[in-house]
Amino acid sequence: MTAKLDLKKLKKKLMGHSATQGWIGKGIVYALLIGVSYIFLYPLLRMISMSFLTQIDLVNPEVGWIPTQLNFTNYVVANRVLGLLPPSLANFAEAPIQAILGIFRNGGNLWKSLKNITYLAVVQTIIASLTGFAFARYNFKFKKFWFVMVLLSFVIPLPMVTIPRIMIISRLQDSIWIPFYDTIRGTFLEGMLKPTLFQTLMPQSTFTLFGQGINSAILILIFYNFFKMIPISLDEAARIDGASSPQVFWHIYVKLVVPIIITVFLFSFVWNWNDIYSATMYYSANNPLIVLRLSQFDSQFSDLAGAIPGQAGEARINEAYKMAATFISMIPLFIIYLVAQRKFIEGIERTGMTGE
Amino acid sequence: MKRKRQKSVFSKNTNLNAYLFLMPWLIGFIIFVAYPFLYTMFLSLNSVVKNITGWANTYIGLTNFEVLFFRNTAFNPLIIDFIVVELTYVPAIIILAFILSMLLNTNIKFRAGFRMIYFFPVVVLSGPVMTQLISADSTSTIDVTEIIIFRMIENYSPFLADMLASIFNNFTLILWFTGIPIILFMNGLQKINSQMIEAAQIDGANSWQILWKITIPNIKSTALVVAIFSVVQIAIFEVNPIYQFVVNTIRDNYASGLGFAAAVVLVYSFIVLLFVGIAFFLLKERDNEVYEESLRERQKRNLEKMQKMQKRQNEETFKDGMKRIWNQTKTIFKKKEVTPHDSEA
Repeated sequence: MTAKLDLKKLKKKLMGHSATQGWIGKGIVYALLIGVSYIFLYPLLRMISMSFLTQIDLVNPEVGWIPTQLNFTNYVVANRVLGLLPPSLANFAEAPIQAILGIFRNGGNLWKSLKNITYLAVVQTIIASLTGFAFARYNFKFKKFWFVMVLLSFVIPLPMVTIPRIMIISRLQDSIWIPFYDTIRGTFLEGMLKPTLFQTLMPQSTFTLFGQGINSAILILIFYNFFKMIPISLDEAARIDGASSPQVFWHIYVKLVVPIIITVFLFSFVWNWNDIYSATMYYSANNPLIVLRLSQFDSQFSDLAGAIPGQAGEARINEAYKMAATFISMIPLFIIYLVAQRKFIEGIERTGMTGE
Repeated sequence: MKRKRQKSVFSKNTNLNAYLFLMPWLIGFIIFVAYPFLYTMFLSLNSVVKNITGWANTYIGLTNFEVLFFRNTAFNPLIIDFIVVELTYVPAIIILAFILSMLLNTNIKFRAGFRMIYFFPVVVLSGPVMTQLISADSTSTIDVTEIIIFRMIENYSPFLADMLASIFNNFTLILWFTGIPIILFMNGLQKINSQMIEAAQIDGANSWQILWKITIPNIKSTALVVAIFSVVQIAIFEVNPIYQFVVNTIRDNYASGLGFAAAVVLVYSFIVLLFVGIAFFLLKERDNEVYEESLRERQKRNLEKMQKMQKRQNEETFKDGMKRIWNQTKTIFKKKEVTPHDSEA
């Protein structure tokens, strides 16, 4: 009798009421999830492991994951090719004061790209919040039409609008930028090569300033949904007390949605950082953006081959250098994600894309 | 008096204020999206040459497209590859993301941890990173060509084997695209009314039936968003075969061939928008509307039926009454008429 009961209990425990409640079901679910996590992380683990391998380890069939000795030469080479840290720091031992002064003259590509991308992300966040606010809190003419246009602007492939954009920027350059540059610097830079607009962040920041940065539509949607959740009575109360629209926007809405502003900023930062298309199209020459530098790693490497320590003229590129460079280019994103991963997931949940 | 003033505060200048907030985006949209969109179409019919004052356009009809399709040897295979990539990747992304979100949605521990791992690629995913990872051969976890079943398939049909191999070789890439879809699907799954599932369970439905009859119809709108998102994301991703061609065409033809580049871009965009359209057509939600319509229609039909029945009943009772009267009169007349006829006969 008891044996039978135990068997029943065991069966219940093993199989459960539904497919995923018993031990067997749960075991399968965990196995699948862990297996998939392994496939997800495999390239990253492989990358990190490879970035520590020396040239000898790479060809050694006995070395799989763990290098025979810990060395950071790959990172030194990657830093040199990508130009991450200020170049003057290389002669720190010889001339420390000049090296430190050099930091201010040329901060290195890491600092420059962090600066550029932060600027783009801040501008994009502000414009997205304004647009989202207009859609969430006002009933104006053609509202539905413009809202559909926001969604459409996400679907239209970027190359479709690239050529006329290049033409517009080039026209602006001829009519405004060059005369402007001449009046400021013309007197003592006569005859020197002027930087064209395509060698600056100007085109990208112009698009971002007018709300057409990378994935702007999604950021607008996040703000739109969040502003809609705030009770309108707050708004009305402030207006009865005599607040103007900008005041209402600043004192009531912006101060209430600080968490979502941070989320949008982070998304914007990450997307701008990874936005290789705009970088190649509008700012390909001298762009310090590290991801772009990474895509030019091979050619940069052969240019610098003579100057790389331990290479002495033989420009032999190997996977370990590339993996080190890839890992370095990910580190800022890595840190952001570790600190604020909840915000990213919440942000996607808040787009409300699933609800509409 | 006070009330009137309040009203005026709200209605006054709302249009103006709204457009003030919308202004930056609106200007940007018109100058950097709407105008370029139309102008690219126009350019594709022109020969564009750069001169001192800017670009000079001369209308040449469909010559650019003719060159593209019939004289350029690189474009046609690339565009076919691109279509194949979209056709295989997007369904794979949707199905994988759906399965993973279903698994994550069961009551397991470390859900946040798994979700964190699955979302991580969204943050680091970019063309150069992926290219480097692929070039270092760190994306292919399983070498399918070594498995005996795969060799059997290869003997049977090399084409099928090629397709399978490409899917398995790019399995990590496909998985890395599922970061945002998983979150969207999980969100969609949590929004499904649990009472519906309980009701189905009480009625004796098993989990397989619940999956097909309740979960999937309810998740359709999320799948649409995921499909559109994936189509757009893959289109602009560096690993897809046509991307490099499009970028190079625009950059190399800067001086004299932007008309041709516009034609390339137009065909490419047409295909992307076509896929978006297909996704929209396949996954558009009509079930609710149809259900509502049928309910209303059924009520209407029932009402009409009842009215008809009543009418018929009324008619019948009327007819019956008339018949009865007719018969009675008949009998009366018969009684009256029969006797003389009989007598005549």
